Amino acid sequence: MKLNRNFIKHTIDGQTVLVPTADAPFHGLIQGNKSVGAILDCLEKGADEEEIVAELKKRFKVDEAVIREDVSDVLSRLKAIGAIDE
Amino acid sequence: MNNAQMQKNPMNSARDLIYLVACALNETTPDPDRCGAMDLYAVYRLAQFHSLTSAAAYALEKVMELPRDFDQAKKKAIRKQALFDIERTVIFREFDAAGIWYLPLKGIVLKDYYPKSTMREMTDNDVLCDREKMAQIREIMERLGYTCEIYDMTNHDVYEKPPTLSFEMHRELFYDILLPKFHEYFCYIGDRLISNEGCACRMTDEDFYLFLIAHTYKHYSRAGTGLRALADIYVFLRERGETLDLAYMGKELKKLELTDFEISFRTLAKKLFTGEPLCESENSELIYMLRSGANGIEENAEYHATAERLGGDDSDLAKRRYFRKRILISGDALADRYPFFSRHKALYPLLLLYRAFKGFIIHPGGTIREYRKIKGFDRGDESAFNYDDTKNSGNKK
Repeated sequence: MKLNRNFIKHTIDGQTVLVPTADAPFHGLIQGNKSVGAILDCLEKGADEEEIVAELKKRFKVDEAVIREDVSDVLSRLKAIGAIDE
Repeated sequence: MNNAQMQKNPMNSARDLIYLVACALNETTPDPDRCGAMDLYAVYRLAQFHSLTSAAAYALEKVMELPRDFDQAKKKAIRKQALFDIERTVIFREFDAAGIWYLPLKGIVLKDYYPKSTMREMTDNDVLCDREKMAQIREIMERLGYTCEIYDMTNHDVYEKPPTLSFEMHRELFYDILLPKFHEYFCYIGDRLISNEGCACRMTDEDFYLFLIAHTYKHYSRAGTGLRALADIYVFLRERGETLDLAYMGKELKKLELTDFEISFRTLAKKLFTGEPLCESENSELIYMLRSGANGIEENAEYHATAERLGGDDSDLAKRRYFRKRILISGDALADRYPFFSRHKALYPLLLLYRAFKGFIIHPGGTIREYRKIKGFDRGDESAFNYDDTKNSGNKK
């Protein structure tokens, strides 16, 4: 999975945002916490769900089950707005 | 906004907006009870007029769930800044590759002095560029998907791209025809710039502040300018004020004939956002700025243009003198506009007949408008009401 080229990850005031360009099907703004930022970092380079979970386990000291649930939730939302290329 | 509109939302909305912005700039938490009692619709409208909705939102969200308008305005400011940041990276990479020097201006620089950069809303991005390379810049911008809206007509070219991106690429900081003194002072600014990475440049803090003051004056003295300009000065001086070379600044402000303006503007900005009471003249200035908004109003531009035509004199004598000069055109004006009649003075009465015909038969509307503007011009007191600053303190934690 990779971030669709019509969505650009950007950091403003220390917060990660995902900005759709004019060609994107979605015209809002995606703001997230640090874990969303980490997921977007992975998608920028290209990663599957397992790789993303592994990366978040390295970065955050949180239960794996919680991480899996968060990752699954974020990925499904991003897919819904066309932000992910499979 | 006119005086009647300001009086409909009397100073309460203005006080509330200034209070919220002061809280945002000083990173303090507003009083929840005070926020709960605000007419947030009126505050939002005024904030929009002054391009301060995002700043106000940052303060409000500390004590309440943001009303939809404020929430959307804040998100829009974040999105817009992100898009501008990304686009500037792409554009400046092209400029670096092409060897074109560039200097980011105004909001691009000022936003980083705010506690959160997205408190500083921007309609466009201004960049000063190598004036010898404007054609090449046009080629680059058009290749990047921008439409050139204005080219080589004033001191800057305008490029736009959907949905909301607008870049003003400046060949000069000030337009020589409208502001010759500022143009002359700043036209050699390129010699004083400091190189950053690649072809990027920056001004010294002193030159940036001088430019900020001159640019603010340009708007203040014509269509007017609003609260955001005061916020800009406040945040910049809070960060850099202690390190500015004051002797140099004093000398340069004198050359620009902006000494008095700088003092009064700086003082007003500090007092407003630290809760100090205003004197009568500061109150008048504030009222003028509250009525003007971020982008000024036509009424102000007309007022100042008329004042300029009358040399600032609203006496009946000055007005009669003006009308006589307009009707009995002579001297340089005659030579510029009617060189034939300037050379053949015996035919001058024919020119007067022609001008009378043109003014009263061909363009009567314009003639009547000009007559009314001049006749009705009054330098009188513009204060609609007083602003009691003693209850406005955004700097208590």
